[in-house]
Amino acid sequence: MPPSRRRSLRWLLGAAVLLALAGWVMLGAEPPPRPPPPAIALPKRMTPSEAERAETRRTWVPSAEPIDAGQAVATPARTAIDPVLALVPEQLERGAVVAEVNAIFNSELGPMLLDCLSAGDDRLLRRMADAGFDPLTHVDRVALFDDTVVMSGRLEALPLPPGAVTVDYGPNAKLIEPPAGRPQRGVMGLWRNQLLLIGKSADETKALIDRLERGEAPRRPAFDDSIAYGEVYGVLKPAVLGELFEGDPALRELLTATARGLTLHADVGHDLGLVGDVEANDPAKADELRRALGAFVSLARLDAQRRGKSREAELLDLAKVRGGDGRGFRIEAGIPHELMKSVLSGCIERGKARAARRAGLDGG
Amino acid sequence: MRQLLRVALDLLLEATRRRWVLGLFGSITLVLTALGLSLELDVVDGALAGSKLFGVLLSDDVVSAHRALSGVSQAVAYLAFYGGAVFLVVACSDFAPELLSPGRIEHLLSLPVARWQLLFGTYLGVLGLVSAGILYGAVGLTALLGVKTGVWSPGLLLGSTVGLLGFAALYAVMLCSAFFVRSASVSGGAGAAMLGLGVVASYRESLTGLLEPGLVRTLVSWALVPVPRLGGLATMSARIAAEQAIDGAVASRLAAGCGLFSVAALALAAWRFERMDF
Repeated sequence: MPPSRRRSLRWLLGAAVLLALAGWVMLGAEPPPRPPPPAIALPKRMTPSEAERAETRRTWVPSAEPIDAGQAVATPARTAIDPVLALVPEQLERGAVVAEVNAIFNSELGPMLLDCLSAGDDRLLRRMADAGFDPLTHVDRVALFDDTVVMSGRLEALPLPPGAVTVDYGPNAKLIEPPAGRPQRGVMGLWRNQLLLIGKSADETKALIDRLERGEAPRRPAFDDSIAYGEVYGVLKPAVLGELFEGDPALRELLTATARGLTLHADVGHDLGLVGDVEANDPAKADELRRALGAFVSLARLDAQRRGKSREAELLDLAKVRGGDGRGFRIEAGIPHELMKSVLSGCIERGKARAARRAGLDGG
Repeated sequence: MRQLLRVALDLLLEATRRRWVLGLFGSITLVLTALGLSLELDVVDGALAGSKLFGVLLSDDVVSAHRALSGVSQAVAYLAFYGGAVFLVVACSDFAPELLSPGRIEHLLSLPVARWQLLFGTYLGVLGLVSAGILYGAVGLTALLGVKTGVWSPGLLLGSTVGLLGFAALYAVMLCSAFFVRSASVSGGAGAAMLGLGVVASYRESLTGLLEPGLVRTLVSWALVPVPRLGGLATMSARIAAEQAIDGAVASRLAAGCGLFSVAALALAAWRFERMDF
């Protein structure tokens, strides 16, 4: 190799070494790499254990009509049903949500969540437990279908309101009438000591009990057990979704005009994972709504950063509006376990402080 | 070393002959004059009671003149860093192609000067010219703000040295590109692209985080590692101008990295120059 060529190669080698050295030096000036976002398990599909749970909840309800053993009676074909989901109406005005209360309270965050909800005052829970009814073990699910409340579990020891009168309704149910003169928010009914039903009126509660007795599910329920996964699941209608965006009238209007509903799933096992599938009326507007919601989340995050609300910004950072298939799209959000613990600790502390103030006022 | 300085001096003389120096200093004087006439700072007893630029009210809050000057210096430093870089990239884009122009390069190579000395001498000459321009601008601005506010701060002067460091990297790339494509516009384009890349490299971690994980993200991330962090240098320059604290270790690494990159680009240019036939 001629000397001039060798000399030129030395320059090239020098350039490479210097470039590598420059990179190494400047890497040391960079801030430490951001930790990857926490991996939060999101309830995107039914797990085998949840499928098994749904299967075991399907029960055959014995017919109220006696069957003549000697005759071949043509009875309508019935399928095994989950009694709670059998009460989901065909049409919803606001929405239907089911909470797997037992699973939630017995999860890692359950005790803290309970402390937060009881606002530092567990006297009511203790009184119920003393009466033989422990909500932590005896309540299985709580559901809200528009204005109807349904609670499932082992409810034979469920304490009734003082002075309440029970009236039998059919062989398996009873209506619970509150004491006279007490304002009545709804009429309670207890079916087979397994389901507590609270309807707006006595007729509504009776209709629910009748439906259970007949063992019939609505032909086209607002949702069935195929979406019964996660610890909270259900369907929210546009009216409720619009209420979430009171501060943004344009988005609220777009949402109520475009969305048919949102199917919600939440996991509270360890972290809090939320998945919402928005179904749109008009595929052409689905993408517009998706972009508007994405922009709303981004702006809210920037606003939280600007106001120094780092925790809020961190939460919004984990929220994503995914691409859709034309008919709708998916919203995902999550709160890591440590952050949930910290939020709940704050809630418990505030509850305890309120309870202490109340005790001080009562005492003084 | 003497040969290097002779080449640099030759470039200075050439720039003076072409009235390039006049153009540079004239432009800076024009900017300083316009700023001097249009910036109104109403200072009363060491406090800034109001400020206007081109007759438009910027602020009527009453703040201490020192604090106000800190903000002004910071803004001016950013503006001077990026604005100055763009101006100088355009203004200096034809030095290297001119060096390689037919007739001139043969004449220079016939002199007892090594090729690398020609290259580094040209580089030093341009940096010398630019240093004088930056020094003139920084002294002018310091004097302007000092006269208007009564607060004399060396921040802008010190900050401008960081600006020079940033331009050194840009010009090294411009000079290098000229040895591959002898064109003033390509040289200017390379400088402008380098400026953009330098800003992107300053936010390497967060910007590459926007890409989907995979080969492309990894390649982009590694490709940006040796690129000087010009955005970081601009921030450093602004903080120095505003007399704010800087992290010494980070600052020295940014400066050293920028210097090493510049020499690497010049070494690449030297490799190319050694292989060229004229």
